[in-house]
Amino acid sequence: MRKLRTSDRMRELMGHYYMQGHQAEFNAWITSGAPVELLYAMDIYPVYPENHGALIGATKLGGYYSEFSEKRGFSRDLCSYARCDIGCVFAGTSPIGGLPKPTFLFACNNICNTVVKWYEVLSRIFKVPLFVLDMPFVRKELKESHLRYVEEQLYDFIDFSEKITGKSLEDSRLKDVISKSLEGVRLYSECLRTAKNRPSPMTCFDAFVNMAPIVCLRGTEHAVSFYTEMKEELEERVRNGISAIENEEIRLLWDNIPVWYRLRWFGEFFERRNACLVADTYTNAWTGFGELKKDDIISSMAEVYTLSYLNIGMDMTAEIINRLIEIYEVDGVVMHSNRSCKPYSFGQYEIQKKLSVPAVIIEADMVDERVFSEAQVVTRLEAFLEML
Amino acid sequence: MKVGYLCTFTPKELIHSAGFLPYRVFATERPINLASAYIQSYSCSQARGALECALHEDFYAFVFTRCCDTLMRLTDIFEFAGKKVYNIEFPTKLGNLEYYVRELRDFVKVLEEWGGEVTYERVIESLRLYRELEKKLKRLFEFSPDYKTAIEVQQIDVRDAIKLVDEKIKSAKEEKEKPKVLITGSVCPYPKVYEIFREAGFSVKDDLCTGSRFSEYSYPDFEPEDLDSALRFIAEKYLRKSPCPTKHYENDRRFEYVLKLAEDCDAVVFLLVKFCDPHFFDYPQLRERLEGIGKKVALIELEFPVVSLEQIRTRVEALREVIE
Amino acid sequence: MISAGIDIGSITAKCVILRDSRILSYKVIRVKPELGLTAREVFEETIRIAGIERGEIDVIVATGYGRNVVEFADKKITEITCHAAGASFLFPDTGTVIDIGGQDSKVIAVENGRVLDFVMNDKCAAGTGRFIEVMASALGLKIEEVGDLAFRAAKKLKISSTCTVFAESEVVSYLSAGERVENIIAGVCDAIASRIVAMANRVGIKREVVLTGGVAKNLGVRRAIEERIGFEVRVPEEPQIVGALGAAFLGTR
Repeated sequence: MRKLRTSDRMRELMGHYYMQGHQAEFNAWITSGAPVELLYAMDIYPVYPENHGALIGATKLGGYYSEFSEKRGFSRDLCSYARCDIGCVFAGTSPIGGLPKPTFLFACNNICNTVVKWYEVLSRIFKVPLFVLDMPFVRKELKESHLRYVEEQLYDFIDFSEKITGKSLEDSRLKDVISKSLEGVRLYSECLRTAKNRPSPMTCFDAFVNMAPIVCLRGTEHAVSFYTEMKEELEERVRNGISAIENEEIRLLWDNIPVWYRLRWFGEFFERRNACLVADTYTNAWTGFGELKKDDIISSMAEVYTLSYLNIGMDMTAEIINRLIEIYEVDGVVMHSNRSCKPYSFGQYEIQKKLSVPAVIIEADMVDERVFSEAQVVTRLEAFLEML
Repeated sequence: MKVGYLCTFTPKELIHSAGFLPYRVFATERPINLASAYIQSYSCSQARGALECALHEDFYAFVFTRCCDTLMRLTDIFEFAGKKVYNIEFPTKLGNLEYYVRELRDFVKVLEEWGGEVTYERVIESLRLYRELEKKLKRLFEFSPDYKTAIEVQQIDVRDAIKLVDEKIKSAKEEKEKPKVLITGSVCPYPKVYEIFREAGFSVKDDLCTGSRFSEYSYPDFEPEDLDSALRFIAEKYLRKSPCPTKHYENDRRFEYVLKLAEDCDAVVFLLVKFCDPHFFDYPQLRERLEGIGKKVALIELEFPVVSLEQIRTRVEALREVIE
Repeated sequence: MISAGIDIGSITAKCVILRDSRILSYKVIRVKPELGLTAREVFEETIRIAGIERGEIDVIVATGYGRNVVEFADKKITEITCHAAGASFLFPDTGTVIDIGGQDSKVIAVENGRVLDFVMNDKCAAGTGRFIEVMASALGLKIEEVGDLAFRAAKKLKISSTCTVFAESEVVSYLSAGERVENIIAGVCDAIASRIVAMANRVGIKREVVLTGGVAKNLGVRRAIEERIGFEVRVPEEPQIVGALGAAFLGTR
């Protein structure tokens, strides 16, 4: 597999980002689907425990940190991001030395209801205020009533953070952050789209490794310059006919959060069998934030964030996946049945039946390596590839 | 015509007023087989058991009230399995009454689409009947908690339910002074489990949806004058319901509520269904608070259908021995 | 005063006769489908070894999974309370009891012979004797050989799966990769120890730690536990009879 040069730049950028957190005047722990633009517009540093969880998984220390929370009675059946994050708080450290203590917590349930419980636990440990942005689940269509509910809360949140920090949200500042956010998401989406090429200049594993800036730095200049660079490198590859893997015969789509502790293993497994995972539903989810409108910020924010990929019904999800299958011209889908993510995994059995190409389901966990059975995964994937 | 529902926050009064039979769906004694083809095994067995039930029995439709990740996805899964469904977005954050009133208005439209008829008079009547049932159930539980009845009333017509509870009150015997245990959790639709606590020598108090939580409400004090204010009345009633781990409250109200309930008890047993995220997230810190006020705490993890009563019995008896 | 304690487990039944705080006799037999009959059998055997008559026994206490079918018992007490009492009888400064049986395991926090807290695993094979049986079988070993073999290991091969079925496939993979049996079995012992210690941490590990149950006789598991907690554990001469002993002792109080 050919590594992207930009990945080194990403590590540098994220390292700098994490360090900054310890020096910020105000910081808020925030969920991955929350409207971070509001924080950046008020110079509140956002901390992403989920990204931290991915990092823990990548360093293969999921089981280790989880034990710290299990010792205090937290069940192993709970989401591993939560278990490991809470575990790190009890351990007083983490692979990057631990996260800075929050000024307040900001949980938006448009990715799952679990984050509310997780953040409640944190608010009791740290004794800091928690703001819950409650987004209704959009099973069929988005209702005017739901939008109004979310909008009201966005204004509540602005009040809440202004009161805590003593700062006020300036319109012009917010407009600027939104512009940068849109720009960053546009460039990011263009990077992902280069995988339409045959052969693809990148795999979804490259996307997983390089998605951190759009998640954590969305709304800043850093995300814009990073994805500009990445896009250049990818377009260069396309121009020179350089592919991500040696020999691309099969094109596949990945569904669900990656198995963070086995990224390279999966990449190599598929490459050996001439299969390229050209795209995935997880990194694709962030392209949705490109629909924000500069001239109607709060309203469009309510709509865009409520319609996040994990907050919509199965019909819509299946439609999106089929569209991706079409755009990227894939021959099959690999679905990760992720023990830690119920909203992402329940419904896979049904969605599988609605897809226009064959799919295989493998069982694992995104961060807890104790639940991974190599033998089971290899058998299923090999049988699937033979089938294609 | 049965309209099934899974969560006690569901406005059953509206379902009843529309002319349907609100039927609380639980896992039964039936082993879970067919359901495994629809949903992964790391879902709670109440969800899987309910799906199993839905696949075998006759229901007109199902109503899902937002409470947890599993039930959220279960709505689509039921629909995929060919069932008629509707999901009510009960707010996770309690406070915005208007929002929930709008949800209820939408729900009324759906009930009408399903062939039901919702009028002011019928809603008032349903409210009155359910309020009577709740009052009588509370009285029955004051004598001696009767879980078999508490579960049964959630699956029969409210008028028959009232008659049933009246019967039970007549023959209810007061319980003697015994060490008291508070059982907290979501559901346990197997009366034999509660018997184990009695047989071990405990008198039982509960915070369960298959027990007291069915009748724990704090009613608003206005008289609804028309259909819309009746909907507002229902919204208030449910927003004031005894706090549940699936909702987010100010000032840790859920914890304070359980601590208060536990005050007159010697022990607290968390009777939790495996894979129930909301309860399991609360458990460690709530346990700490309970132990902090001197209560002995035990955790019993259940799967449905309950096959091994002996394992539960051992834990309950051991807890009894610890208290001695 | 003479008391008898009968512990009916799912695989073995044990009985202990105590006279004036001294063990008169004890016996361990395999459980037969008819639990009531098994109880009678182990009881009668034990009093025969002691050389006393049924009528000389002042009190009979039953414990264990099958305690409720022992009709002739005067009292029934759970195996949790009995293990705490039995371990404390043998080791007065018992702080934690770790009981690893054939089909279940439990950890009990103890103070002055009384139960403070407990946690049980009776649903999952990993962390019980069954786990060792499955792995030993996959390696073509007898259970009795496991302890010594693990002792001779040059290194412990990591078994990361928490599930017995997955762990077995890991063991098989190691075998086919040519790894040495003693290194694999050392990894197995460590895996079960890790499960046990994780469970123990939930009630808190306090000295003295007493290991009971059939698996306590396994040197490999014992050592792996000691390595993880950082100090030695106490193992009774007959770790399987601790429950019955506790039952007999509690009968005298």
